[in-house]
Amino acid sequence: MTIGTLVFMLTVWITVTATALWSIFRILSK
Amino acid sequence: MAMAGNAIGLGNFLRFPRLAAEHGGGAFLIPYFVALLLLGIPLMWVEWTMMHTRQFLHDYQGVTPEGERVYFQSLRPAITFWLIAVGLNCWIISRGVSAGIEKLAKIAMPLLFLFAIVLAIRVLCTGTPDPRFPDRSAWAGLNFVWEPNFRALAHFDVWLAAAGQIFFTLSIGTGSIQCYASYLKRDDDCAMTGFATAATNEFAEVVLGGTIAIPLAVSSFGLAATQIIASQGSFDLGFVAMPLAFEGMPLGWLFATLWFSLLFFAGITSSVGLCMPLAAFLHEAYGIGQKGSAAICGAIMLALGLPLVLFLGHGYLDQYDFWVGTFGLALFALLELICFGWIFGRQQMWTELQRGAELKIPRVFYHIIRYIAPAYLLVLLVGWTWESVSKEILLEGAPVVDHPYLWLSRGTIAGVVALLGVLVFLWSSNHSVENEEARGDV
Repeated sequence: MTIGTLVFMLTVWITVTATALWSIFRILSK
Repeated sequence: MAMAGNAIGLGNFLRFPRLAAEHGGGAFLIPYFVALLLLGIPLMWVEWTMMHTRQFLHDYQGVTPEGERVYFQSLRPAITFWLIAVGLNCWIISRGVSAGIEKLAKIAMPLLFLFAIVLAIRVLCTGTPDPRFPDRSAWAGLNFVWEPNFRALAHFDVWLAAAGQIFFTLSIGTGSIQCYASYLKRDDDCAMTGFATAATNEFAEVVLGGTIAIPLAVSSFGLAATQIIASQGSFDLGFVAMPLAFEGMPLGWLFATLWFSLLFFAGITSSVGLCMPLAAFLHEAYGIGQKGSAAICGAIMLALGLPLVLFLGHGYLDQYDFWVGTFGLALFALLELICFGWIFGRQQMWTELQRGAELKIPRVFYHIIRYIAPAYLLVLLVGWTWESVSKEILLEGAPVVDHPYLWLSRGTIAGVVALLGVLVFLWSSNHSVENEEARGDV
Protein backbone atom coordinates (compact mmCIF):
# COMPACT_ATOMS: atom_id res chain seq x y z
CA MET A 1 0.00 0.00 0.00
CA THR A 2 1.41 3.35 -0.98
CA ILE A 3 1.69 6.20 1.49
CA GLY A 4 -0.84 8.19 -0.52
CA THR A 5 -3.43 5.41 -0.37
CA LEU A 6 -2.82 4.89 3.34
CA VAL A 7 -3.25 8.59 4.07
CA PHE A 8 -6.43 8.69 1.96
CA MET A 9 -7.86 5.66 3.77
CA LEU A 10 -6.98 6.86 7.27
CA THR A 11 -8.30 10.36 6.55
CA VAL A 12 -11.64 8.95 5.45
CA TRP A 13 -11.77 6.52 8.39
CA ILE A 14 -11.04 9.22 10.95
CA THR A 15 -13.41 11.74 9.37
CA VAL A 16 -16.30 9.27 9.07
CA THR A 17 -15.79 7.85 12.58
CA ALA A 18 -15.48 11.28 14.20
CA THR A 19 -18.57 12.55 12.36
CA ALA A 20 -20.61 9.53 13.41
CA LEU A 21 -19.53 9.79 17.05
CA TRP A 22 -20.12 13.57 17.12
CA SER A 23 -23.63 13.27 15.69
CA ILE A 24 -24.58 10.42 18.03
CA PHE A 25 -23.37 12.33 21.10
CA ARG A 26 -25.22 15.45 19.96
CA ILE A 27 -28.46 13.47 19.70
CA LEU A 28 -27.93 11.62 22.98
CA SER A 29 -27.04 14.80 24.87
CA LYS A 30 -30.39 16.45 24.03
CA MET B 1 -31.70 3.68 16.72
CA ALA B 2 -34.55 2.21 14.69
CA MET B 3 -33.64 4.35 11.69
CA ALA B 4 -29.98 3.36 11.96
CA GLY B 5 -31.14 -0.25 12.07
CA ASN B 6 -33.14 0.32 8.94
CA ALA B 7 -30.26 2.01 7.12
CA ILE B 8 -27.51 -0.39 8.20
CA GLY B 9 -28.10 -3.64 6.39
CA LEU B 10 -26.64 -6.17 4.00
CA GLY B 11 -25.79 -3.27 1.69
CA ASN B 12 -23.12 -2.12 4.15
CA PHE B 13 -21.35 -5.44 4.58
CA LEU B 14 -21.97 -7.20 1.24
CA ARG B 15 -23.17 -4.84 -1.48
CA PHE B 16 -20.72 -2.00 -0.82
CA PRO B 17 -17.52 -4.12 -0.81
CA ARG B 18 -18.75 -6.05 -3.84
CA LEU B 19 -19.45 -2.87 -5.82
CA ALA B 20 -16.15 -1.34 -4.77
CA ALA B 21 -14.36 -4.47 -5.98
CA GLU B 22 -16.35 -4.59 -9.20
CA HIS B 23 -15.93 -0.93 -10.14
CA GLY B 24 -12.22 -0.30 -9.87
CA GLY B 25 -11.55 -0.46 -6.12
CA GLY B 26 -10.67 2.96 -4.75
CA ALA B 27 -11.98 4.74 -7.84
CA PHE B 28 -15.49 3.75 -6.80
CA LEU B 29 -15.08 5.72 -3.58
CA ILE B 30 -14.77 9.01 -5.46
CA PRO B 31 -18.22 8.92 -7.11
CA TYR B 32 -19.46 7.30 -3.92
CA PHE B 33 -18.49 10.25 -1.71
CA VAL B 34 -19.58 12.75 -4.35
CA ALA B 35 -22.99 11.02 -4.36
CA LEU B 36 -23.06 11.01 -0.56
CA LEU B 37 -22.51 14.78 -0.36
CA LEU B 38 -24.59 15.85 -3.33
CA LEU B 39 -27.38 13.29 -3.15
CA GLY B 40 -27.32 11.14 0.01
CA ILE B 41 -27.25 13.76 2.76
CA PRO B 42 -29.53 16.29 0.98
CA LEU B 43 -32.07 13.57 0.17
CA MET B 44 -31.87 12.26 3.72
CA TRP B 45 -32.91 15.73 4.91
CA VAL B 46 -35.55 15.98 2.20
CA GLU B 47 -37.14 12.66 3.19
CA TRP B 48 -37.05 13.37 6.91
CA THR B 49 -38.55 16.82 6.39
CA MET B 50 -41.06 15.76 3.77
CA MET B 51 -42.99 13.56 6.12
CA HIS B 52 -42.49 14.75 9.66
CA THR B 53 -44.85 17.62 9.02
CA ARG B 54 -47.63 15.17 8.27
CA GLN B 55 -48.70 12.39 10.60
CA PHE B 56 -50.35 10.06 8.17
CA LEU B 57 -48.53 6.84 8.80
CA HIS B 58 -48.63 4.61 11.81
CA ASP B 59 -47.08 1.59 13.36
CA TYR B 60 -45.28 -0.85 11.18
CA GLN B 61 -42.60 -2.61 8.96
CA GLY B 62 -41.20 -5.72 6.77
CA VAL B 63 -38.57 -7.19 4.06
CA THR B 64 -36.59 -9.47 1.76
CA PRO B 65 -34.87 -12.35 3.42
CA GLU B 66 -33.79 -13.81 0.14
CA GLY B 67 -30.18 -14.44 1.20
CA GLU B 68 -28.47 -17.44 2.53
CA ARG B 69 -29.07 -19.90 -0.31
CA VAL B 70 -25.57 -20.26 -1.68
CA TYR B 71 -24.09 -20.97 1.70
CA PHE B 72 -26.34 -23.92 2.31
CA GLN B 73 -25.61 -27.21 0.62
CA SER B 74 -29.21 -27.89 -0.33
CA LEU B 75 -32.42 -25.95 -0.77
CA ARG B 76 -34.26 -27.48 2.17
CA PRO B 77 -32.35 -25.72 4.96
CA ALA B 78 -32.26 -22.54 2.88
CA ILE B 79 -36.02 -22.50 2.47
CA THR B 80 -36.54 -23.44 6.12
CA PHE B 81 -34.32 -20.57 7.23
CA TRP B 82 -36.07 -18.23 4.84
CA LEU B 83 -39.54 -19.24 6.12
CA ILE B 84 -38.39 -18.63 9.70
CA ALA B 85 -37.05 -15.22 8.67
CA VAL B 86 -40.35 -14.34 6.93
CA GLY B 87 -42.28 -15.44 10.04
CA LEU B 88 -40.02 -13.37 12.26
CA ASN B 89 -40.47 -10.35 10.02
CA CYS B 90 -44.26 -10.70 10.12
CA TRP B 91 -44.24 -11.03 13.89
CA ILE B 92 -42.12 -7.89 14.33
CA ILE B 93 -44.25 -5.92 11.85
CA SER B 94 -47.45 -7.00 13.59
CA ARG B 95 -46.15 -5.65 16.90
CA GLY B 96 -45.69 -2.19 15.41
CA VAL B 97 -42.90 0.35 15.68
CA SER B 98 -42.57 0.79 19.44
CA ALA B 99 -43.08 -2.78 20.64
CA GLY B 100 -41.52 -4.48 17.61
CA ILE B 101 -39.04 -2.48 15.58
CA GLU B 102 -37.68 -0.27 18.31
CA LYS B 103 -37.08 -3.20 20.65
CA LEU B 104 -35.41 -5.17 17.87
CA ALA B 105 -33.13 -2.24 17.03
CA LYS B 106 -32.15 -1.74 20.67
CA ILE B 107 -30.92 -5.32 20.87
CA ALA B 108 -29.66 -5.86 17.34
CA MET B 109 -27.77 -2.63 16.65
CA PRO B 110 -25.28 -2.72 19.57
CA LEU B 111 -24.62 -6.40 18.82
CA LEU B 112 -24.18 -5.65 15.13
CA PHE B 113 -21.57 -2.96 15.83
CA LEU B 114 -19.81 -5.14 18.40
CA PHE B 115 -19.57 -8.09 16.00
CA ALA B 116 -18.47 -5.89 13.11
CA ILE B 117 -15.73 -4.20 15.17
CA VAL B 118 -14.45 -7.57 16.44
CA LEU B 119 -14.40 -8.96 12.89
CA ALA B 120 -12.71 -5.87 11.45
CA ILE B 121 -9.96 -6.04 14.08
CA ARG B 122 -9.54 -9.77 13.45
CA VAL B 123 -9.23 -9.19 9.70
CA LEU B 124 -6.67 -6.43 10.18
CA CYS B 125 -4.63 -8.82 12.34
CA THR B 126 -4.75 -11.57 9.72
CA GLY B 127 -1.36 -10.70 8.24
CA THR B 128 -0.30 -13.13 5.51
CA PRO B 129 -2.06 -16.41 6.34
CA ASP B 130 -0.13 -18.52 3.82
CA PRO B 131 3.62 -17.73 3.59
CA ARG B 132 3.69 -19.33 0.11
CA PHE B 133 1.59 -16.41 -1.14
CA PRO B 134 3.10 -13.26 0.34
CA ASP B 135 0.82 -11.04 -1.77
CA ARG B 136 -2.28 -12.49 -0.11
CA SER B 137 -2.89 -10.28 2.90
CA ALA B 138 -5.62 -8.14 4.41
CA TRP B 139 -3.53 -5.06 3.63
CA ALA B 140 -3.44 -6.03 -0.03
CA GLY B 141 -7.23 -6.22 0.15
CA LEU B 142 -7.45 -2.80 1.81
CA ASN B 143 -5.11 -1.44 -0.83
CA PHE B 144 -7.41 -2.78 -3.53
CA VAL B 145 -10.46 -1.21 -1.93
CA TRP B 146 -8.80 2.17 -1.40
CA GLU B 147 -6.27 2.65 -4.21
CA PRO B 148 -7.85 4.93 -6.82
CA ASN B 149 -8.15 3.62 -10.37
CA PHE B 150 -9.22 6.74 -12.20
CA ARG B 151 -9.90 5.02 -15.51
CA ALA B 152 -13.14 3.61 -14.10
CA LEU B 153 -14.46 7.13 -13.56
CA ALA B 154 -15.02 7.56 -17.30
CA HIS B 155 -18.03 5.24 -17.27
CA PHE B 156 -21.56 6.30 -16.37
CA ASP B 157 -22.35 2.90 -14.89
CA VAL B 158 -19.73 3.45 -12.14
CA TRP B 159 -21.31 6.80 -11.21
CA LEU B 160 -24.81 5.33 -11.37
CA ALA B 161 -23.73 2.33 -9.27
CA ALA B 162 -22.22 4.69 -6.68
CA ALA B 163 -25.38 6.82 -6.56
CA GLY B 164 -27.50 3.65 -6.37
CA GLN B 165 -25.39 2.36 -3.50
CA ILE B 166 -25.85 5.63 -1.59
CA PHE B 167 -29.63 5.39 -2.02
CA PHE B 168 -29.63 1.68 -1.19
CA THR B 169 -27.50 2.01 1.91
CA LEU B 170 -29.29 5.07 3.30
CA SER B 171 -32.71 3.57 2.45
CA ILE B 172 -33.52 6.61 0.32
CA GLY B 173 -36.36 6.22 -2.15
CA THR B 174 -37.83 3.21 -0.38
CA GLY B 175 -40.39 5.14 1.67
CA SER B 176 -39.14 3.86 5.01
CA ILE B 177 -37.57 7.17 6.06
CA GLN B 178 -40.88 8.94 5.50
CA CYS B 179 -42.60 6.33 7.66
CA TYR B 180 -40.18 6.89 10.53
CA ALA B 181 -40.26 10.65 10.03
CA SER B 182 -44.04 10.69 10.41
CA TYR B 183 -43.49 9.83 14.08
CA LEU B 184 -41.50 12.99 14.75
CA LYS B 185 -43.14 16.00 16.30
CA ARG B 186 -43.47 19.15 14.21
CA ASP B 187 -40.48 20.87 15.81
CA ASP B 188 -38.21 17.84 16.10
CA ASP B 189 -34.77 18.19 14.58
CA CYS B 190 -34.85 16.51 11.17
CA ALA B 191 -31.49 17.91 10.15
CA MET B 192 -29.56 16.30 12.99
CA THR B 193 -31.57 13.07 12.91
CA GLY B 194 -30.97 12.64 9.19
CA PHE B 195 -27.31 13.58 9.46
CA ALA B 196 -26.70 11.20 12.39
CA THR B 197 -28.38 8.35 10.52
CA ALA B 198 -26.22 8.98 7.45
CA ALA B 199 -23.02 9.32 9.50
CA THR B 200 -23.65 6.14 11.52
CA ASN B 201 -24.46 4.25 8.36
CA GLU B 202 -21.28 5.47 6.64
CA PHE B 203 -19.19 4.38 9.61
CA ALA B 204 -20.71 0.90 9.36
CA GLU B 205 -20.22 0.80 5.60
CA VAL B 206 -16.95 2.53 4.76
CA VAL B 207 -14.96 1.79 7.90
CA LEU B 208 -16.34 -1.61 8.96
CA GLY B 209 -17.93 -2.98 5.77
CA GLY B 210 -14.91 -2.05 3.68
CA THR B 211 -12.53 -3.70 6.14
CA ILE B 212 -14.13 -7.13 6.51
CA ALA B 213 -15.25 -8.99 3.38
CA ILE B 214 -12.85 -7.90 0.62
CA PRO B 215 -9.64 -7.77 2.72
CA LEU B 216 -10.40 -11.19 4.23
CA ALA B 217 -11.20 -12.68 0.82
CA VAL B 218 -7.98 -11.26 -0.65
CA SER B 219 -5.92 -12.63 2.24
CA SER B 220 -7.46 -16.07 1.73
CA PHE B 221 -7.87 -16.38 -2.04
CA GLY B 222 -5.75 -13.64 -3.59
CA LEU B 223 -6.77 -10.56 -5.51
CA ALA B 224 -7.69 -12.16 -8.84
CA ALA B 225 -9.94 -14.79 -7.26
CA THR B 226 -11.60 -12.15 -5.05
CA GLN B 227 -12.44 -10.06 -8.11
CA ILE B 228 -14.03 -13.11 -9.73
CA ILE B 229 -16.01 -13.92 -6.57
CA ALA B 230 -17.15 -10.31 -6.25
CA SER B 231 -18.23 -10.22 -9.90
CA GLN B 232 -20.50 -13.19 -9.23
CA GLY B 233 -22.52 -11.24 -6.71
CA SER B 234 -22.73 -10.20 -3.08
CA PHE B 235 -24.03 -13.54 -1.91
CA ASP B 236 -21.11 -15.50 -3.29
CA LEU B 237 -18.82 -13.15 -1.43
CA GLY B 238 -20.75 -13.29 1.82
CA PHE B 239 -22.04 -16.84 1.91
CA VAL B 240 -19.46 -18.85 -0.01
CA ALA B 241 -16.12 -17.06 0.20
CA MET B 242 -16.38 -15.84 3.78
CA PRO B 243 -17.17 -19.21 5.42
CA LEU B 244 -14.24 -20.73 3.52
CA ALA B 245 -11.98 -17.91 4.64
CA PHE B 246 -13.05 -18.33 8.27
CA GLU B 247 -12.42 -22.07 8.08
CA GLY B 248 -8.76 -21.42 7.52
CA MET B 249 -8.20 -19.38 10.69
CA PRO B 250 -7.93 -20.33 14.37
CA LEU B 251 -11.33 -20.15 16.11
CA GLY B 252 -12.81 -19.80 12.62
CA TRP B 253 -16.16 -21.18 13.80
CA LEU B 254 -16.44 -18.33 16.28
CA PHE B 255 -15.75 -15.65 13.68
CA ALA B 256 -18.05 -17.35 11.17
CA THR B 257 -20.79 -17.28 13.81
CA LEU B 258 -20.16 -13.59 14.41
CA TRP B 259 -20.23 -12.95 10.65
CA PHE B 260 -23.56 -14.67 10.07
CA SER B 261 -25.06 -13.14 13.21
CA LEU B 262 -23.92 -9.77 11.94
CA LEU B 263 -25.57 -10.38 8.55
CA PHE B 264 -28.72 -11.64 10.23
CA PHE B 265 -29.07 -8.57 12.42
CA ALA B 266 -28.20 -6.27 9.53
CA GLY B 267 -30.75 -8.02 7.32
CA ILE B 268 -33.63 -8.27 9.76
CA THR B 269 -33.44 -4.65 10.97
CA SER B 270 -33.47 -3.45 7.36
CA SER B 271 -36.03 -5.90 6.12
CA VAL B 272 -38.68 -4.91 8.63
CA GLY B 273 -38.01 -1.28 7.71
CA LEU B 274 -38.52 -1.95 4.02
CA CYS B 275 -41.98 -3.46 4.57
CA MET B 276 -43.07 -0.58 6.73
CA PRO B 277 -44.33 1.66 3.90
CA LEU B 278 -46.51 -1.13 2.48
CA ALA B 279 -47.89 -2.18 5.87
CA ALA B 280 -48.56 1.45 6.80
CA PHE B 281 -50.23 2.07 3.43
CA LEU B 282 -52.52 -0.94 3.83
CA HIS B 283 -53.35 0.17 7.35
CA GLU B 284 -53.97 3.83 6.57
CA ALA B 285 -55.50 3.59 3.12
CA TYR B 286 -57.56 0.44 3.44
CA GLY B 287 -58.10 0.25 7.20
CA ILE B 288 -56.50 -3.18 7.50
CA GLY B 289 -55.34 -3.94 11.06
CA GLN B 290 -51.70 -4.37 12.09
CA LYS B 291 -51.86 -8.15 12.11
CA GLY B 292 -53.69 -8.25 8.78
CA SER B 293 -51.19 -5.90 7.16
CA ALA B 294 -48.32 -7.96 8.55
CA ALA B 295 -49.90 -11.14 7.17
CA ILE B 296 -50.32 -9.57 3.73
CA CYS B 297 -46.68 -8.44 3.80
CA GLY B 298 -45.71 -12.01 4.72
CA ALA B 299 -47.76 -13.44 1.85
CA ILE B 300 -46.12 -11.01 -0.60
CA MET B 301 -42.68 -11.89 0.79
CA LEU B 302 -43.42 -15.57 0.22
CA ALA B 303 -44.74 -15.01 -3.31
CA LEU B 304 -41.90 -12.71 -4.38
CA GLY B 305 -39.16 -14.29 -2.31
CA LEU B 306 -39.51 -17.92 -3.35
CA PRO B 307 -38.30 -17.35 -6.93
CA LEU B 308 -35.38 -15.39 -5.48
CA VAL B 309 -34.35 -18.37 -3.40
CA LEU B 310 -34.92 -20.89 -6.19
CA PHE B 311 -33.40 -18.93 -9.09
CA LEU B 312 -30.63 -17.07 -7.30
CA GLY B 313 -27.99 -18.84 -9.37
CA HIS B 314 -29.61 -17.62 -12.60
CA GLY B 315 -29.18 -13.94 -11.77
CA TYR B 316 -32.84 -13.49 -10.77
CA LEU B 317 -31.87 -11.30 -7.81
CA ASP B 318 -29.42 -9.23 -9.88
CA GLN B 319 -32.34 -7.90 -11.94
CA TYR B 320 -34.10 -6.78 -8.76
CA ASP B 321 -30.85 -5.35 -7.51
CA PHE B 322 -30.25 -3.26 -10.63
CA TRP B 323 -33.73 -2.17 -11.72
CA VAL B 324 -35.04 -1.59 -8.21
CA GLY B 325 -31.91 -1.09 -6.09
CA THR B 326 -29.98 1.12 -8.50
CA PHE B 327 -32.03 2.49 -11.41
CA GLY B 328 -35.38 2.62 -9.57
CA LEU B 329 -34.00 4.35 -6.49
CA ALA B 330 -32.21 6.97 -8.61
CA LEU B 331 -35.43 7.61 -10.55
CA PHE B 332 -37.52 7.91 -7.38
CA ALA B 333 -34.94 10.19 -5.81
CA LEU B 334 -35.14 12.48 -8.85
CA LEU B 335 -38.93 12.63 -8.65
CA GLU B 336 -38.70 13.29 -4.93
CA LEU B 337 -36.27 16.17 -5.42
CA ILE B 338 -38.51 17.72 -8.06
CA CYS B 339 -41.56 17.42 -5.80
CA PHE B 340 -39.81 18.78 -2.73
CA GLY B 341 -37.55 21.42 -4.26
CA TRP B 342 -39.87 22.74 -6.96
CA ILE B 343 -43.51 21.78 -6.36
CA PHE B 344 -43.54 22.06 -2.56
CA GLY B 345 -42.26 25.64 -2.80
CA ARG B 346 -38.69 26.82 -2.37
CA GLN B 347 -39.16 28.98 0.70
CA GLN B 348 -41.44 26.48 2.42
CA MET B 349 -38.95 23.72 1.67
CA TRP B 350 -36.07 25.62 3.24
CA THR B 351 -38.13 26.69 6.27
CA GLU B 352 -39.23 23.12 6.95
CA LEU B 353 -35.68 21.83 6.63
CA GLN B 354 -34.51 24.32 9.27
CA ARG B 355 -37.44 23.92 11.65
CA GLY B 356 -36.21 22.92 15.10
CA ALA B 357 -32.75 22.27 13.69
CA GLU B 358 -29.89 22.46 16.13
CA LEU B 359 -27.63 21.71 13.19
CA LYS B 360 -27.66 24.72 10.91
CA ILE B 361 -27.78 23.47 7.36
CA PRO B 362 -25.39 25.50 5.17
CA ARG B 363 -27.19 27.59 2.56
CA VAL B 364 -25.33 25.76 -0.21
CA PHE B 365 -27.61 22.76 0.38
CA TYR B 366 -30.57 24.86 -0.72
CA HIS B 367 -28.96 25.11 -4.14
CA ILE B 368 -27.88 21.46 -4.04
CA ILE B 369 -31.42 20.26 -3.33
CA ARG B 370 -33.00 22.56 -5.91
CA TYR B 371 -30.51 22.49 -8.76
CA ILE B 372 -27.39 20.37 -8.37
CA ALA B 373 -28.84 17.07 -7.11
CA PRO B 374 -31.67 16.88 -9.70
CA ALA B 375 -29.26 17.88 -12.48
CA TYR B 376 -26.72 15.32 -11.26
CA LEU B 377 -29.32 12.55 -11.27
CA LEU B 378 -30.69 13.60 -14.62
CA VAL B 379 -27.23 13.54 -16.19
CA LEU B 380 -26.55 10.13 -14.64
CA LEU B 381 -29.81 8.62 -15.83
CA VAL B 382 -29.60 10.11 -19.33
CA GLY B 383 -25.90 9.26 -19.61
CA TRP B 384 -26.43 5.70 -18.47
CA THR B 385 -29.39 5.31 -20.84
CA TRP B 386 -27.28 6.54 -23.75
CA GLU B 387 -24.30 4.38 -22.81
CA SER B 388 -25.80 1.13 -21.52
CA VAL B 389 -29.56 0.84 -21.79
CA SER B 390 -29.63 -1.35 -24.89
CA LYS B 391 -26.91 -3.60 -23.48
CA GLU B 392 -28.81 -3.94 -20.23
CA ILE B 393 -32.24 -4.48 -21.74
CA LEU B 394 -31.02 -7.01 -24.30
CA LEU B 395 -29.18 -8.88 -21.53
CA GLU B 396 -25.87 -8.76 -23.33
CA GLY B 397 -23.31 -10.89 -21.55
CA ALA B 398 -25.88 -12.97 -19.65
CA PRO B 399 -25.94 -16.70 -20.49
CA VAL B 400 -28.81 -17.50 -22.86
CA VAL B 401 -30.02 -20.24 -20.50
CA ASP B 402 -30.65 -17.58 -17.85
CA HIS B 403 -32.71 -15.28 -20.07
CA PRO B 404 -36.15 -16.73 -19.14
CA TYR B 405 -35.36 -16.28 -15.43
CA LEU B 406 -34.17 -12.73 -15.98
CA TRP B 407 -37.28 -11.81 -17.95
CA LEU B 408 -39.43 -13.45 -15.28
CA SER B 409 -37.67 -11.29 -12.72
CA ARG B 410 -38.35 -8.15 -14.77
CA GLY B 411 -41.96 -9.18 -15.31
CA THR B 412 -42.37 -9.59 -11.57
CA ILE B 413 -40.98 -6.12 -10.92
CA ALA B 414 -43.32 -4.63 -13.53
CA GLY B 415 -46.26 -6.55 -12.05
CA VAL B 416 -45.54 -5.30 -8.53
CA VAL B 417 -45.19 -1.70 -9.73
CA ALA B 418 -48.48 -1.99 -11.67
CA LEU B 419 -50.28 -3.54 -8.67
CA LEU B 420 -49.07 -0.80 -6.34
CA GLY B 421 -50.11 1.78 -8.90
CA VAL B 422 -53.63 0.33 -9.01
CA LEU B 423 -53.84 0.24 -5.19
CA VAL B 424 -52.73 3.86 -4.92
CA PHE B 425 -55.12 4.90 -7.71
CA LEU B 426 -58.08 3.16 -6.05
CA TRP B 427 -57.27 4.70 -2.71
CA SER B 428 -56.79 8.10 -4.30
CA SER B 429 -60.15 7.88 -6.13
CA ASN B 430 -62.02 6.85 -2.97
CA HIS B 431 -60.24 9.53 -0.99
CA SER B 432 -61.32 12.22 -3.48
CA VAL B 433 -64.93 11.02 -3.37
CA GLU B 434 -64.90 11.06 0.45
CA ASN B 435 -63.47 14.57 0.46
CA GLU B 436 -66.12 15.80 -1.96
CA GLU B 437 -68.86 14.19 0.13
CA ALA B 438 -67.43 15.78 3.26
CA ARG B 439 -67.42 19.20 1.54
CA GLY B 440 -71.00 18.60 0.37
CA ASP B 441 -72.12 17.87 3.94
CA VAL B 442 -70.57 21.10 5.15
